[in-house]
This record gives sequence, C-alpha cells and structure tokens, in this order.
Amino acid sequence: MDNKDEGVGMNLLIMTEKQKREEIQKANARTVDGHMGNDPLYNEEEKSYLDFIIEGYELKQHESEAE
Amino acid sequence: MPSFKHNGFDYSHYAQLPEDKLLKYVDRADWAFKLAFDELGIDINKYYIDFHSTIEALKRTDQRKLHYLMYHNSMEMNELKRIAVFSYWVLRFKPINRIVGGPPDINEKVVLSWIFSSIKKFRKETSIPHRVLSPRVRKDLLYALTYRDISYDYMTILVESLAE
Repeated sequence: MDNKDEGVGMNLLIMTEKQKREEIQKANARTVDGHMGNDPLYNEEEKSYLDFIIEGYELKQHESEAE
Repeated sequence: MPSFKHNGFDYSHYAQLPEDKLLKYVDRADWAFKLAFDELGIDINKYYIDFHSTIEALKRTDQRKLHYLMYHNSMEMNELKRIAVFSYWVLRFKPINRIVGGPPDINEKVVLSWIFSSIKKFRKETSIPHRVLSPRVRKDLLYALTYRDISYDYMTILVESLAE
C-alpha cells in the first residue's frame, strides 16, 4: 500500500501523527468558507460524540468479562 | 447564512474546526473504526480507511452543530443526534474500502455497530433497560442503511427512536 501519494490514497490506519497533521493543514488551507482561531464554540471542552461510541464498546466488554 | 451571535461571538459563516481538535477527532474515529471491526470479527487489515473521507465526515458533523444553534433556538445537539449525523456522512462518503475480499456493505455494518454501541451507552446513562434487537430487525436495519435513501433528519429520528 502506498501512503506517499499526496492528497489521495491516505490510509488512516497506517498514517503517522505527522502525516495526519500535514493532511489536515492542507485540507484546511483548501477551505475558504471558514475561519479558525480562538472561537469559543470550538474551544469549549466537550466530550466528543466519538467518545460516546467508544464508551459503549467498553461497557459491552466489561459486561462480557463479568459474565 | 445570516449573522448569528453565540457566547459573544459573531458567526456569519461556518467556523472551521481547529487543527488540534480535528486531529483529536481523527484519532477517536480511528479507534471507533477498530472497535467496530473487532466486534464484527472482521480483520481490519484487509481494509483501507480513507483519511480525507473521514475528516470530511467529521467536519460536516461539526457544521451541523452550528446549524442547530442558529435554527433551533440555540439548542445543543445531544450525543445521539451527532452520532446520527456522523453516521449519515460516513454512509455518504464511505471511507472504508476493501483491499481484498470482505463484505461489500462494510460501511453500513460499521455504522450499525456504532449506533448499537452508542445506544448501549445512552441507556446506561439514562437508566433505560437494555434490550437486544432481534436478528430480523438488525438485518432489516442493515438493508435499509445499504439500499434505502436515508436523509440525516431520518437518521436522527431512527437513532433516537431505537435508543428510547
């Protein structure tokens, strides 16, 4: 699997953090309809909905271990 | 989009997710993909998860947050609504691709697994007794996600109805 091609063929599963950060920077630079910065809507600490999914799996795992 | 104020900040358009936050979301999504594959008993190494489709789904889910604040009387989206919207975009962009073999409806299977996982968590938090859906209903849901045209409003209703 080639993960070096720019902009295409990026496999999330095998990317390094550096590669992910670079790709995010490129993707954000291409977007012209938004701004970034000290925006309170995005800086407030909130639990991600993805954590909610992950915690559901952990619950299931704890239950099957307890059985 | 009209101008809108929230917490003293003026919004005239969607404010992009900051890089660090998006990176954090990507890592959580990566983990959520792996957990779903584990639960399904499918080898994730036979698949390719497209990075750009994933961040597109994450960004669009985030955009919906501002939409809700603006058009639904500053209402915050609950976790199930966000999961429904994220699921909708994952089904649209289909970030999971087969390298060799494997089920063709893998994106739908993963989304369904996430929905059931989040429902389990929701029921635990709200003390609603957990019940397991029959294999027939699960099969029908998978069929609907694969072949029916489902909007994100419908997806939100579906997830919240299944959870209650």
